Amino acid sequence: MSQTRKSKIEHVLQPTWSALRKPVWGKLSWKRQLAESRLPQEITSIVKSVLAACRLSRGEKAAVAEELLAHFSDGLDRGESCSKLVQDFGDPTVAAPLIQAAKRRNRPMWKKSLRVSGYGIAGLIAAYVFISLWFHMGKPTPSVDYVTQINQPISGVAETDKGWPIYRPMWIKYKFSEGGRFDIPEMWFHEPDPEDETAPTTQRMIRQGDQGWEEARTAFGAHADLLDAFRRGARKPYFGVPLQSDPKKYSDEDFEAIFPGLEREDFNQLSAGIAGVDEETNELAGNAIVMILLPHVQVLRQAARIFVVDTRLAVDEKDSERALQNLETMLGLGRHAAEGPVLVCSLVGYAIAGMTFDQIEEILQADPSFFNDEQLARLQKAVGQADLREWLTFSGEQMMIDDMIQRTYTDDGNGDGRLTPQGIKILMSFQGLRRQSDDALNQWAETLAGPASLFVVASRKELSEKASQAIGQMAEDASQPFWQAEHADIAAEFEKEPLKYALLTTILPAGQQVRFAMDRLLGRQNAVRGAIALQRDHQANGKWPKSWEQIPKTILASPPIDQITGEPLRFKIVKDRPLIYSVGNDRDDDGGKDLEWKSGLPIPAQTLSRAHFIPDPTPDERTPDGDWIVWPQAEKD
Amino acid sequence: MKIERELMRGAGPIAVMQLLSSSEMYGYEIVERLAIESSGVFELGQSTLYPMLYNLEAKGLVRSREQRAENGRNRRYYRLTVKGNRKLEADRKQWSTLVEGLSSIGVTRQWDPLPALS
Repeated sequence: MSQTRKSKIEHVLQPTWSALRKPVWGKLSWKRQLAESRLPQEITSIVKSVLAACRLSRGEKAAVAEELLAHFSDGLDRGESCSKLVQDFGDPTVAAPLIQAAKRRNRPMWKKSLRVSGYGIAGLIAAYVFISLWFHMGKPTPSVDYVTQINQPISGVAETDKGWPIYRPMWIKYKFSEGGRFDIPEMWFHEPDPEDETAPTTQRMIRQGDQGWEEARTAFGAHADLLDAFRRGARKPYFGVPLQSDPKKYSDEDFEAIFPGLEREDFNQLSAGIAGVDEETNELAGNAIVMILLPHVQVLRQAARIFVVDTRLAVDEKDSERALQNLETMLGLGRHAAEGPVLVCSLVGYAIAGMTFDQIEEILQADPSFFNDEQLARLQKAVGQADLREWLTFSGEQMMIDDMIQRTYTDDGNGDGRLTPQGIKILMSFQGLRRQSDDALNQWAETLAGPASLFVVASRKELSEKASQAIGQMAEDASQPFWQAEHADIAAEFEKEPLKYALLTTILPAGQQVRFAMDRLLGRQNAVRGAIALQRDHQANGKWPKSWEQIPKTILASPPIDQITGEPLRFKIVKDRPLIYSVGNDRDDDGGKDLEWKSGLPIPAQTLSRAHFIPDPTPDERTPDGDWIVWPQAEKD
Repeated sequence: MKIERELMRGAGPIAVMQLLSSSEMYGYEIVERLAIESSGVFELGQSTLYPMLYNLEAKGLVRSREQRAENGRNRRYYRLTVKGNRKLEADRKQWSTLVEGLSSIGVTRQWDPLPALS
């Protein structure tokens, strides 16, 4: 290699080496620098004292060492004595903190930031570890038996006032409830698609004239004892089934009636179905009142369907008394379904009442004179006695939230507490956020992210207070007539912070929907009472009255109320049948013209929402025009 | 004459900057020059010189570089930056004002011996 080439290489390598040498050297050891300095021990000692007392990086210490060694070396080169130099240098205990502070001040910004960030991160990690320990020490300690509380309303009711002891033997015989999948196949008509014979048929309840009508009559005759039991039971003021979160706690008879296809052993593994959690957590969740199974409530709807078909059979057989009894039975079934103080029970009750109103409408529209005046009066009374507002209660929802809080939060004895690891598992599972198939992932997510929930999720006290406030407001709102209620979107406040109020965001919107279902049904109930009164007056006078006021008070004590406006419903006679309508939320009487969008497209009755009911002070092109026709409006089956 | 530490704390950096305004110097050289040129007034405790230099460097008033000396050791040479020059100028004015002020009230005046009391 030529000399020129070698020097070129050195020219490139030298600065690189110089740049690397310092940190590498420094990292190796500043003590080595002292050892290799060949300076007197007196000098290296003082330098060592300074550096040992400095809390600097090894590189920084190496740089200081190099400079101080050069300093003393220069002094010696000038002929100064070792002891003079040491004396002139001064006290190392004074020098060390000054050098340390100055060197630190001299660090580049990135290094300072890194250091601060490092301390910050370390602090955060330490804090998170502390919080994690605190979080993982928390355990829920449920102390209130909400199952007993939820059963309180029926606990003192005499057996003779309950429908359940009458239904129960038939439910056992016919395996009517959960697991039994009871059905009378002949009650269903499978309607083919008139345009496509190969398309799947649509199932609806059978009517006179349908193929299989006579077979249905025979099948219903074979189930006379079941229908009779329902008729007798539905007259009782109470349904009377206890509610249990643990199905094993039902009596033998109740268990056999409610779970006819199941054995008690099937429930031995009391489980909320939360995968990969300990038995204690599963039991906590499994005993919550939200886990109460309500098969007996749900199947009352099936019973109501049976009575729809039997009523059609009765009409066909001109058996008006049986038809009337069936309608009364349906209203009783609805009342029994709504007995449980939870929203789903109210909804089932309203669904059954809606089916009853449909059936009344179907009969009176087809044959207005089917019932005599006495029967119409009975029917009018039965419809009026259905206290639909009473069917809606929020006490069960309040209990559900309180119960869930006591199963997911700690209790400090003063109404406050924090979310627990078990609570996280339960809530995540109920929200569908827990992956059933990946226990390890769940475990990691809950262990690491769990403590963070303390910063996100509301405290026990806050959640309890907000829940009581919101449910109280909802109950207060629901107790007001629709036209006077505030209609505040109570759920909206909580939906802004879905994680913080996870429990509330799942329950409150359902409450508002049920409230609307109630108002809509109240509107229909008023119209049904009005329609029956119109029919009675027509049967008495041979002509239709021109106004509600023309109907005697003995038939109609007061005009039926428009649920949207609070004023009397309007009516007119079309093709010798009454048409009863509300002027709708635009308060504009369109003469009984059905609701339609401004574009002219009709709005199907089943798509009516709260927005169509709440008065709209600033109607625009999105505001529907027309009236809400309340009678007739039956959605066929 | 030994200057009190508090006074030196204010005057030390300007003295060092003044030295460095003429040329770059290494640590021991600064100590030496200060002692000679100030006739011993600025005989800095050497343990305080280096923290002072590091502080000046941290403020961007001086900059340093390494260079291998004849004795084979690496020396660190310090020189004044533009910012340091400006600071020196400003400090110099302040010190002048201060000295003038002290002088006008007689602090830095040559005192005549008081007449002996008869």
